[in-house]
Amino acid sequence: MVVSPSECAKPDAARTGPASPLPPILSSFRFLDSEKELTQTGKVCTHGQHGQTIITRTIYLFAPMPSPDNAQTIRDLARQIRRLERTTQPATPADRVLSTGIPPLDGLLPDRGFPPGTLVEWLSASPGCGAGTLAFTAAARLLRNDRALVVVDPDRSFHPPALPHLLQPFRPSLPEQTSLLERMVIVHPETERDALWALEQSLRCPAVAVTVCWLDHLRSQVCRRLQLAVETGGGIGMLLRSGECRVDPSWADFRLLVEPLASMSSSSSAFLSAAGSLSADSTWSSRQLRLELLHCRGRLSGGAVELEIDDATGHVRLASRMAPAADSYRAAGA
Amino acid sequence: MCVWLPEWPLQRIRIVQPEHKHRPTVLYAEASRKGHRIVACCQAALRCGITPGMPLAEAQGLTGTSRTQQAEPLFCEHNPEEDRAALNRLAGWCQRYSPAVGTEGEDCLLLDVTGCAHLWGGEQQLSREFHRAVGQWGLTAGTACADTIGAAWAIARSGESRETVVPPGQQAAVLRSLPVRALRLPAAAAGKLEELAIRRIAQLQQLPRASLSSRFGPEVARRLDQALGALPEQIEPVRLAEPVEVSLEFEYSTGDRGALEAALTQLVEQAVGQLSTSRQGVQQLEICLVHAEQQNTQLTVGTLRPSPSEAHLMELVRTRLERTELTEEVAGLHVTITAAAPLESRQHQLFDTVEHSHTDQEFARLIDRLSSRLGRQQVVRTELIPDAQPEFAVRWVPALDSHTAHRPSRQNRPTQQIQQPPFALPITGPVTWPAAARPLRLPAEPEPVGVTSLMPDGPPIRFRYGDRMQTVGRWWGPERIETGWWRERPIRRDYYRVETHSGQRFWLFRHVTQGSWFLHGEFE
Repeated sequence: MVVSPSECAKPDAARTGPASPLPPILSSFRFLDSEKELTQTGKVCTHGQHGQTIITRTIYLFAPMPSPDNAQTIRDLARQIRRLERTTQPATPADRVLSTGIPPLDGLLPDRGFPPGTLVEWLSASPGCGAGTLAFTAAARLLRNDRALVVVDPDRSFHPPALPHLLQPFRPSLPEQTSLLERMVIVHPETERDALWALEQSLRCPAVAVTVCWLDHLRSQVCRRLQLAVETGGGIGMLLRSGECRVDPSWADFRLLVEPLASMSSSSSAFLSAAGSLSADSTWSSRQLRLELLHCRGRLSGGAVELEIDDATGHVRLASRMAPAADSYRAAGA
Repeated sequence: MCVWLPEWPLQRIRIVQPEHKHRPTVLYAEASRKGHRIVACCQAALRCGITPGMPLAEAQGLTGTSRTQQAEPLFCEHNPEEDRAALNRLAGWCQRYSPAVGTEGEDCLLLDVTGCAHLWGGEQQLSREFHRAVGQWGLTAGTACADTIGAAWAIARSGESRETVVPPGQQAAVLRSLPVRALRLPAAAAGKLEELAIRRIAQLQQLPRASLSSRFGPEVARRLDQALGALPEQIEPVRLAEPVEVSLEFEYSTGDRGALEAALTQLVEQAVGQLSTSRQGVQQLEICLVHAEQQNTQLTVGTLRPSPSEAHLMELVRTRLERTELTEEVAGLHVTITAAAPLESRQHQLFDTVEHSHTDQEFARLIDRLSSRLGRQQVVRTELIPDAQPEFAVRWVPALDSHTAHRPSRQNRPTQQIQQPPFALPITGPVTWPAAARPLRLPAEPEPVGVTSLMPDGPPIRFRYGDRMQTVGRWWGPERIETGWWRERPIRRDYYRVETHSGQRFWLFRHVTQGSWFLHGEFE
């Protein structure tokens, strides 16, 4: 079913005023599955078109909705979503946007990077999927002007040797460039309260370029505090959270979901090759993961990329969905 | 008595870094806009062709090409503030010989030994004892005892003999043959005298006394009179910093935190005020809450950089106080400054980025705040240890202790020849792995897991993680990590990096002797 454009645009036009230089609001919204019963919990997808881009929004139903008029309910919900999504955020000037150093990730972000003073959430769909590796790869590139990296680690399980190029200067040509190791301060708070306090202090400090924190439980008010703190400080806050937090409301400017991808090579060939030969070149491979931009505050957003992290160098690039040459080579029995 | 320490900056470097004693030493400093220039170098460096005033790059080039000398020269940055501080410390040490010890210029100490010499058996013995004591450290000095400061200074620096004692009243005779620059004259006056070919003090004395002031400035006549004893001169003694301590007794005990805070603010203000006269900042502050019956409560607050601001210190004190449980009412307060350091003064340049120094300061404040509330041990920097056992591959160093570690060097420091500064983290052994060799999250204690494996020594096929069974898709390994028997808990483990069918990565190991499996981290 299609909602008429006038109906969609009205509330927004009233809010933003006639002179606002905004791109046209979604011209139409089409609901899939709207005839389905809404008496179950589940999700309903709505599709909209913005120029050439198809944007999908998902409405989660946590309680059965025994409404006689499904279409009306969905329409109301869709309107609520659109209100949240008004493109009121002015675009950041391109010279202020900080590149993450991962071109596919930059391409996913509306400004091709993180503007200063933003809170970024990395949700990992399952443990060991590579969200932390991505976050630290980006964090290392976001350090600028002799500013520091603060890691708030309540579990005391952060293991710095896992970071690649820990000791190398950022730009080897300049000897005064310090290494990541020298610029990193790790905080081990004992309670959750302390962790939040330390996180807020660090976000608020203009001398800190990036703050990384593992944090699962986060109340909405606290999240807002963090977001205001990072706006004051002008750094980048990165929260590493589990995928279960996806349904929690969040004030983060960017929400990125990382899902593991099964590697293309079949297990038997990998097993045989690994068991058969333990030569040096079989030691390193690459891992693949899917990165999805779930939400970007004040912007229309969406999209996902599949990435590949090189094991030996830590390099992140777009994944090629073909079996790596080495694997097929090994599968052939070589 | 005057003590002259020739080439004091070089001597100081040699004492501070005794391991480089036998290397030629060269000091350089930043000359405005022209890069670094050599300001001082020792005899051995002079023989290599290095001269003061030479650009640093040229000097390094010289040493790079000449293969003749066996030791590579040591290049150090000239640090006048540190030299000055060291001289003051030495003056403090010299108080064993005299109650009034002062400094003169950049490399001289003045000791008032009137009435002290007989304790050592005379001035001759006193000088000898002094030379013996400083000789133990490898210091070279020239000393002279005379009736006036000017004469002692002139004779000590003349370099004729290492220790001279001028008998009372004889200074005029000794001074006559000395050059005029021994009179501590300003450069302009000395230049004028040089032009007129007046080289000896005797020649100066022959000039009409009345015209001296008008021809060469008032300083010449004054210095001459001081050296001869016609004008009095005093030694300005160096005072070593005394510990600053302020305290307050309440009329009656109180447990009111508001009142305590107000009183503490006053005390901290007083203490910082006492320090500020000597341009020093607080590095460590100790607060003692006195209880009537129980043991006193001690609070210690440390800062990353010396801080002159009482507001910042109070903020730190307040965070500590908030987290301190007062078991009993407080009867009095003591505030002691246990560590203080001179404030770094840096001249701003026209095109200097103000932002830079500001950032540095903000960062220091953040570290202070975090450390004072969470505790020193909780705010750390990383030091990599070349240890095979992953749990011990990292050592946490409190960020407050590594005071200068985060001082980004803004000068283009030549990297190779300069000895590593003492605050640099030791980089030894094989500490670089390929990117994916170690997990990002490594729990302190490995967690036992149930693993299915085809062969007794084979790789894992399936394992239980949480409440779910994970099937291994790919694996790499084993990486045998074994430590020696002399360890308290030696280990023998076969580590496997495994990737499950869904693409998650874990680090598993098998206890080689027991055969049991453990999960030791996620490649998050």
